[in-house]
Amino acid sequence: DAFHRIAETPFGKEETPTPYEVTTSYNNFYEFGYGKDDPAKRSATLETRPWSITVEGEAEVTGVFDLEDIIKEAALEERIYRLRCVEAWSMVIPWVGIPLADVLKKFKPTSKAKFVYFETLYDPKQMPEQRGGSINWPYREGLRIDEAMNPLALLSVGMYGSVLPNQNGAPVRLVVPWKYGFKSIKSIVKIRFVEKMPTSTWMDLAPNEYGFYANVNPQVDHPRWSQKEERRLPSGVIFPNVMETKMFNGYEDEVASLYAGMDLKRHF
Amino acid sequence: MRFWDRKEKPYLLVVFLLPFVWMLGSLLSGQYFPDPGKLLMRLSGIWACVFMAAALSVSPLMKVKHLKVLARYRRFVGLSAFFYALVHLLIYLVLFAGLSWNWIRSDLVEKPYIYAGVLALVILFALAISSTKKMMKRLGRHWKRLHRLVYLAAIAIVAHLWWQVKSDTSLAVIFSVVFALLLGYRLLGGQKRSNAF
Repeated sequence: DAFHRIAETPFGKEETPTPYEVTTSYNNFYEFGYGKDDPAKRSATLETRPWSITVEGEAEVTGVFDLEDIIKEAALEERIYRLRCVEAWSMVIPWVGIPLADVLKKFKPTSKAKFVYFETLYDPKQMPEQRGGSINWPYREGLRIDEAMNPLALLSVGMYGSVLPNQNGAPVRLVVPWKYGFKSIKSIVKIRFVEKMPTSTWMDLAPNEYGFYANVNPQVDHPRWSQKEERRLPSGVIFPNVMETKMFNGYEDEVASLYAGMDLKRHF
Repeated sequence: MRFWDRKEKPYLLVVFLLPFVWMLGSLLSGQYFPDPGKLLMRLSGIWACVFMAAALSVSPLMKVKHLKVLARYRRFVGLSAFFYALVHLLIYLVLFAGLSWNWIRSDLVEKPYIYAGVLALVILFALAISSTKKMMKRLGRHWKRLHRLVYLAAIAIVAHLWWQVKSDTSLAVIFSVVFALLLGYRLLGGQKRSNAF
């Protein structure tokens, strides 16, 4: 199994990972309910094996691929990343995965592939909250192709040296650490290379509050709350661990060039 | 009728404080780990709404023959609503924002729902300090006018709820319906005209 040979990387060596009990019990995964503890309690119904991913759109190699085949030949890496939720809390998680670029390049995207669109599984039998109507399921996300090809973007299949727990987006999810957590779509079943900017689920729900880019940016507040500070979980008994939020979640050196010349207040 | 004697008020106080004691106990025993601020802000807000709804339900219920006795406890219920609203504010300041002035200041800049909440709390505060018999006498006919502001507080609470909906509207819907019924009852002349708005 690929998990026996996880390569260490320098990412996040200076950070202290959030305890496993915290990152696996405090989740936003609305497919299993709106409460933070719902995903941990209700996600046992998710069947993660076998798992296939449909690749389609502007690429030379398309079709249905088994996840095992995608990760079998890849070298898994451990990367300790900060995760900043748009709700102003944050964690540090040691992910296991493959650079997204390495995976996407195998499908040979054409010159028309300007964006990559991702979709979460849609199956109300496995994901009970998908019976509810307040969100237009399945969950959808997207990245600009150069964002997706940035070396920081990770296709994750595990955390803390083992496979992903269901509540964390098993068996395969995105990790885009310079963007708010909701961009890191979970339980991916579809990858589509497209020419036009896709509409994400949150853009669809509240376009004035959630943009396509959703970069962590303390200068651009959410319309209804501040993004200048964050609570690094776990909080103390009474006092939270409040710290300043950094531009691009502290990954400015790696990703700022992607947005050179863009007005990030407009493209939030 | 002895049970409803005023001597029972301390027991009533204990009952009204149960949600607070329960929240405090759960907090100290780590039930709200790892993010107590976020969870408790929601819970305390819910309890403030519940007591607010209870306070507004007293006068309609007094119309029911055997429930007239409830009049004695209306002030008590109202004070509880104020208490839970105050706890809600303190939880925001301390457990949620960690008394970080940076955090609070930037929240205050363009977060309209905070002001709706503050408006409701200020009104409840004014009603709480003017709720004594002494103040009732001193304010005379103005007392009733002042205490009609409770309806404005209810409207402010509904605004406070709707303004912050992310995707789950259930709480906002529930309390909007409850407050709309309680206010609508008064508008439609469920009471003598002089008692309405």
